[in-house]
Amino acid sequence: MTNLRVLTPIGTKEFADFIVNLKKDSSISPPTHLLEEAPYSKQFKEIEIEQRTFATRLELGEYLLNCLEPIPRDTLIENEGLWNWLSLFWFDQLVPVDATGKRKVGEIARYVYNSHYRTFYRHLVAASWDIYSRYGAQSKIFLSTSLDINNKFIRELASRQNLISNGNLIDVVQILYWREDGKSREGIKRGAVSKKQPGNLWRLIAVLNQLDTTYDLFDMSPNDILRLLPDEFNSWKPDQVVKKKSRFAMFR
Amino acid sequence: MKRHLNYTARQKIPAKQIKIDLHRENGSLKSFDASVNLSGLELPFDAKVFIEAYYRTDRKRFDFGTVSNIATPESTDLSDLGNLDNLNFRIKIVDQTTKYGLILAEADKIKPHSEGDEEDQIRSILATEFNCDLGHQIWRINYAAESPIIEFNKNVPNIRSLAKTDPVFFFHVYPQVIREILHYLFFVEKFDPEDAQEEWYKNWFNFAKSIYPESSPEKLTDITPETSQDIVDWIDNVVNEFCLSENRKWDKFLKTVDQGEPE
Repeated sequence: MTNLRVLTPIGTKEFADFIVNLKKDSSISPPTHLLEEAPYSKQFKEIEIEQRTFATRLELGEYLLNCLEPIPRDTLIENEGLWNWLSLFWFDQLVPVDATGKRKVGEIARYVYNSHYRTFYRHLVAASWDIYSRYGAQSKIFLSTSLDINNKFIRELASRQNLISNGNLIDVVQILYWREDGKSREGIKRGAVSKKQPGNLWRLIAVLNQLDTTYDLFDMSPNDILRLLPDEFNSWKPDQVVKKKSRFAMFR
Repeated sequence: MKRHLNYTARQKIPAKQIKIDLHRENGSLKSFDASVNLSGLELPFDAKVFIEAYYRTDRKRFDFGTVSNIATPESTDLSDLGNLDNLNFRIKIVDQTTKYGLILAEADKIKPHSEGDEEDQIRSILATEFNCDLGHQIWRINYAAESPIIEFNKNVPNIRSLAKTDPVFFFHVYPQVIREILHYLFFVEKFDPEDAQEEWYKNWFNFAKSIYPESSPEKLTDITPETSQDIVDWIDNVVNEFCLSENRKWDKFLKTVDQGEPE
């Protein structure tokens, strides 16, 4: 167990430099001394953080929500020193060493917090906490990956404020694209992020953006929103929402 | 050219008809009041009025009654939202008599005014953030959000009070803030007054023009060394006029500096 700390601006710079260098030489070791030493980091709160393994980002989000629960959201949400310290703390899980002994480094914003509204959600730790703290178990579709992955649902939805902040729309996304039928293993439905598939995620975003300018989606139940979606989404909807066409017709 | 379709004849509520006032307790933002003037809009008397406070993944909705009876709800508590200093507000007028609530009128990206604030015009276009660790810098401008944010170093004691009321701080910081943002607008964002891409470009340009309307830059398809110099000169005039217009603060500045002069 370690007491929760934050990286100082000097510590953050050292950490960012390390990521840049790691892209050139994937064998260098993380600068873990920054976690404990002044002037690179300093005490944040008397909260203990455990060096443990998380199977998914959902687990990470839940763990952080519990640990950080006493701290006001306003103090956390853009606390870059905190998110960067936690990135370094769990770095081996965010950038795991592969079978060849090397690390595959992604874009810097995944590890070093960038407050730009188009990049903040890419931070693997901060976004896990942020999305889980908003939606709890309903954030499965975003967070059921290992810690080193930003899936397409995060990348496409989290930067769209009108969508990510509307719990009813998140429910709709989950109903359409999350498989949880009790028969097969739960997960994202096949084809949900294929641009060739009718009613895919990108089509949903385009349609919801149109509907959101006309209807008050924030106050609408997920089932009502589902009913407003055009037919191309029928194959994704649960059976009870789609009105089955009768096999018999008076006229043909 | 971007086309906007509006089949349901949705109306836009002019920003000047909305005023959001924030309330603090012990320096922390807690709640808000809103005054919304819907005159000039054709709206049914029973349409609902909703105000939403939002920032990124956070959104909180407040029921402000109906068009004919706009009423502040019992609680407008904002304390469970993130980044309170940068909240935006949106107002929606919704017809709930239809099967799916139809939006009849809307205003978005409304910036709040602060309690006791005298510089409404500046604050409304410049968001503030007081929760930053800036090392040994006192302030900086962050252009990463949808509009510029002035960030203050939280490690400077009384930074909030200094930023709001101290005349020495005022004359050391704000003229330079205006200069920096206008330089960024013209030379980094390549702002063209005839083709403004972002709302904040227009807001800042109009603000600057309101201070120094003469010879303001117009069509700027190509910035040449000559037009660049004209822009730099114009910005300098804007900053100079801004300082000259703050007579009372200048007197306080001189008094403070005079009192603090070492013997």
